[in-house]
Amino acid sequence: MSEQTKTAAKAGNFNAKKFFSDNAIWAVLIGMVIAMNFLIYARKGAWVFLTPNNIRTLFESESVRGVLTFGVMIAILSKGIDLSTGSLAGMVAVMVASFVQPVDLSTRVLTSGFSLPSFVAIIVGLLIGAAVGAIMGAIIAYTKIHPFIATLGGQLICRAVAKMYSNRPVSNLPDSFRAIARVPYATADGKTSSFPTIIIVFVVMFAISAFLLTQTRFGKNIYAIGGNDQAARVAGINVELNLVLVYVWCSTCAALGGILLAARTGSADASTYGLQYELDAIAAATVGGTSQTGGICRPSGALAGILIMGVINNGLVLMGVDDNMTNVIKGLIIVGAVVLDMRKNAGKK
Amino acid sequence: MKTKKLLALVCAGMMALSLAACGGGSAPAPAPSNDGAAPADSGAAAPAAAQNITLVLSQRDEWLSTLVDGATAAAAEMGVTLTTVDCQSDASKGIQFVETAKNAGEQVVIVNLVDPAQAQQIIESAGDMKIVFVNRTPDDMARLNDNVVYVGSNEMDSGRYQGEALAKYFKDKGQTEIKYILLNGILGQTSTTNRTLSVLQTLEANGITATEATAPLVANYERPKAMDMIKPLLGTTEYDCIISNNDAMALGAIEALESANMDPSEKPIVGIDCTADGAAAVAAGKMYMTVFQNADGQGRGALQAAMNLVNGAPLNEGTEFEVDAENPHILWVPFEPVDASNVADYQ
Repeated sequence: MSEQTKTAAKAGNFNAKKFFSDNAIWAVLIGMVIAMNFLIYARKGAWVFLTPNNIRTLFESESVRGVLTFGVMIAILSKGIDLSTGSLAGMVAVMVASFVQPVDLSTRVLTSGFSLPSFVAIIVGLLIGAAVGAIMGAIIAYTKIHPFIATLGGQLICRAVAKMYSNRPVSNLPDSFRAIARVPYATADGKTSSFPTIIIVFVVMFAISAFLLTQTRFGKNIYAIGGNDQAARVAGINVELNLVLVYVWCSTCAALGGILLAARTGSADASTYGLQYELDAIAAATVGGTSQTGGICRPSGALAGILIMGVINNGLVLMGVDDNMTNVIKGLIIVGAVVLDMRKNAGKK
Repeated sequence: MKTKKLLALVCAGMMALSLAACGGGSAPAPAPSNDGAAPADSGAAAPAAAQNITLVLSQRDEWLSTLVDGATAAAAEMGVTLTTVDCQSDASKGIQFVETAKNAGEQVVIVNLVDPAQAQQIIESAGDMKIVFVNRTPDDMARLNDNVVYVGSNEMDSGRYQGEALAKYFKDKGQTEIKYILLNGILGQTSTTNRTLSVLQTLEANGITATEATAPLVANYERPKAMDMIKPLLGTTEYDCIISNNDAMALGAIEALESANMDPSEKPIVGIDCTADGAAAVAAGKMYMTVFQNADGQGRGALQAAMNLVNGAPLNEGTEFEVDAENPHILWVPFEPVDASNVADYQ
């Protein structure tokens, strides 16, 4: 294998080969889109999958889980994991929603009347997320307990805190807050339409996480730590500090996901919001080629992973496939992706 | 020597087990072993123990929290200390909590089942302790007896009210063939099964031919999931109404319609629960109707029934509810249909 690679490198087409190997996931995505397009046409008798409206719907639906994925992919890259993201998203959603609920609402959750302007509430929500991440990150980095355990604890605690905070949905959220997910406007014919800001947020978060990983010292440090933390330490990297930052980033992404979820649905419910989103995010990152053994992650791969999950979620509803079958297909794709990935990476490590 | 002793012990243990099995719980069979006397103590606890009652909750959501509030208020009025414990949807925790209550010497326990099939296990775990099942029905009502009762609403009624409202809506339009989108709750739960079953039965009984516009959608009673499932169907699937197993999912459907610039009042959307948000949507004309399930009434009814069991009083004494005509161990707290005409009473 390595012999072949060397020969290929000498021949000058190494980059092309590497490019195709690295981006094989996009080929899978394109293949799935084409297949889904025809399958849905066969079922519905109309081309309803690749319409501007449906593509928009797909992106809107996956944005929240997508933002969580951009966080957890960096945790996985550092040879860790974050199981708390779904619960944390739910907790932050409920808290931020309670800050921005209209003051004159009879069913208001915060009866004290405490309220914050939407923009401030969102910042506070992100800070809550960052603080939770800092605590979990510090526990992971300095006590050396496995991230699985530390974030499992975080998952339980965040969900419980959310439920203690409010036992009923926090709803009737104002448009000023919901603007982070959608901005309504009046169309020429007098109807109201909305601009999906949530997709902009999603794309910006992708750009930021790609920049972090590929263009900053932090990103390079995380690749090094995930690859071999002892070697990274010898090379003079502050492993502990970087690990704390990993979980701060991951939790901030989760908090943003929660805020987007509340803004998109106009409500936040402590018992159901973000439920099992952490697993969806881990699945998307994994399908996108983020290796559970650490040190390997491509942001563009994770993006493809998110879209693959989105194509399944959206396409199978359009096709009228039973919910249980949807989960069977998802399960097969996740396991299949990891098998392929391990075969692909076997030669590299 | 040692092996003989061990053998004797095993034999004694097996005898005790087989005796207990034969007894089947009908009578407290006197166990032959020495430590068989221990459990008898709890049964003979002082009557004052009725002052402590445990409410075992399947999970905490908005609706069940209202039920707890009702039970807590009733407990305060009766001078009873009510402890609420949460199974977090884990059936085995329910059994643990019931056993703990028994060990604490309590005379009666109120159980909101995680899983209907768990009922028999709970009855066995409770031993001599009396049981009030609340809200979620046991798998078989024949399990109820003088010591085991059920307080709740008939889930077949909730779907029936939805079905009747929809049948009237479409008959007024002169339409007898409809296509529906159905948002299911968590599959396998009695509420999901019966709500779905009864609304479809009622439509059929009222002469409406209803066919499903999609595959069955399972949104687990969650608002965001319902929203994500409905959104791609809008404009791509023809339907006449959206039937939802609860209000949260119906609200998700409304949200999906509004974000697609469609008017949710154009085609009827029906929910169940009459939550604060659900009632507001009915009042605003966005939801066609919902069905009020009396959480407060079920909570109060369960506590009253528990005290009636301990005191040997008739099941419905002190409540405004009626005992089932055939099974004297069921106390029905009725569902109530809510639409634009009466929603003000529920807000």
